[in-house]
Amino acid sequence: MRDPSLNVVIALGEYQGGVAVAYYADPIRRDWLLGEIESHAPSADQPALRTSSVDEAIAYPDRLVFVVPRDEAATVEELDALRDRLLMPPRRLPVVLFLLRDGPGERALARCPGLASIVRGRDPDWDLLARADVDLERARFERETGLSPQAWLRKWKNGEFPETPELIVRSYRATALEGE
Amino acid sequence: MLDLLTRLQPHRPLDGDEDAYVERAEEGGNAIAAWVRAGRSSLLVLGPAGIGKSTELARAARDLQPDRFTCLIPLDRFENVRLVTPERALLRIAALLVQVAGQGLPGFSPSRDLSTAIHGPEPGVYSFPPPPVWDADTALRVACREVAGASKQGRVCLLVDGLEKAPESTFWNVADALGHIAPEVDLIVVIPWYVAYGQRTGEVLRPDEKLFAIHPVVVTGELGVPGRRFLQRLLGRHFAAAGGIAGLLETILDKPSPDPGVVELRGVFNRAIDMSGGIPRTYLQLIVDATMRAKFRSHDQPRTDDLDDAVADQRDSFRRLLSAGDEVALRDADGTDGRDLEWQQKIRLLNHGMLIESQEAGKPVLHIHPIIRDLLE
Repeated sequence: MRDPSLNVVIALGEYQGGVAVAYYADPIRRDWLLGEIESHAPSADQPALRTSSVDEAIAYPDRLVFVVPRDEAATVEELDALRDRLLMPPRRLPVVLFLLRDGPGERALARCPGLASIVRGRDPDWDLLARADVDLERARFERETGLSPQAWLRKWKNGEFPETPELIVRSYRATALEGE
Repeated sequence: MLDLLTRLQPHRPLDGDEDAYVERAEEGGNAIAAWVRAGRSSLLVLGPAGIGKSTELARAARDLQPDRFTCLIPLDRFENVRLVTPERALLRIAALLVQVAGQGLPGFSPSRDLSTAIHGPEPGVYSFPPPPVWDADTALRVACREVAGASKQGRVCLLVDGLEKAPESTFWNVADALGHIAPEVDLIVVIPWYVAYGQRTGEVLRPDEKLFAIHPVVVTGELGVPGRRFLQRLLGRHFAAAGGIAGLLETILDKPSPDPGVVELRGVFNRAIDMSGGIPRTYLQLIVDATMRAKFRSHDQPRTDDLDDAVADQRDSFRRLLSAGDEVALRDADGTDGRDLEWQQKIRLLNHGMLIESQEAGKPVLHIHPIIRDLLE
């Protein structure tokens, strides 16, 4: 089974600082996603920059940038045209483009093969995080760790576990499950 | 090794120099250079996203250097190619040519007239004779003459990358302008697929132009041996570029070993080659994504299940790009030359690499990308 938390971490491209896409079903879900994705983001000294401007995204290669377009199709086309400037020199933190599922941005991406190839594999179904069967996931978590997500998180925050990549991802899962 | 494999940069073209470049069996930068040396002064290069067009252009530039002053122009790094006007594109090319010449030709400096045409007059400086008013076409023409005159090769070759991202109207306007560049300047331009398969007939740049397609490397069957070897070596070079020991991965992949870990790693790399469809960017991306999964799962190296999940993510992305009617069209086109496909659909499917074009017995044949095939099944 693919772990949605892990998919999110991979999509954020912790080591590549590339571009990811977050599809959302409606504006309420988008606002939830903005916070959720920021909580999964690679460690950053500043909060995510939220903008609708591609130029601004390019101007801040060291920050996590959330691009929430006003005109989705135009923004996708602009990102496609400027993608090399976005990726070279390599970004330290990624750009996450927010697009309405089945909306004009998704249709525009189908006309922009270059950008589509860059985000391929980095546009997971973020809503899986919200739609996961919480009871099932909690039970799975307890089976794997012997602790409830809350109890596990308490120990994590107290520094009782080492910060290994596996446990960092587990902390994301615990946070998501605890919040439900 | 895990850390290094996650730091690969699949989207970054390799330099054309000996340490970084991996030669293709065919359709590489050296073949582009050979056509130019053979007298074709215009080459139109095309291929699907992630195939390595920029890398091959960089190699062609390097190969042609002994005979020509070559200037690589990644137009999309300086201009928004969706909006660029022909005037602006030509002025940008002129400016880059002069800049590269200033760095590469000892003592070169453009004339005052040329500098003014490119950068505008120096404010507050009176000069006589006054700088001429040139259009961009003239400025580029003079730039090519000045650089050719100052170079030991005596001839300029411009390699223009990035125009394949331009919408049709913008592309044709810029192409018309590029077509006015003097014939003694060699021109290699990356073009969009719709130029090759589109409905506009006639020349794109100049009468002697040649279309040069870079296809996915063949990775199946006996014919696929060189292609698989190419992708393995490419992975090794990217690994070295990320800070790994040069040659280490090639050694692991080449040497027979009874070590189960090595056998599994080789299996993962080989399956990634199978699923890449011969597209370098897809291959490297699958390796990176599988390795990231391995790292977070505390595996000591990427395993088959890590790769399977990476493939599943790519499959989900492809699914979003499919439009109504694509599934039927893909099945119908598989194994044919694609002549029955509606041309816009064909261009879109080729562009995304969902359909892969290869040459079989000298004729083009289309195949479904392995990840898409997986999806359709």
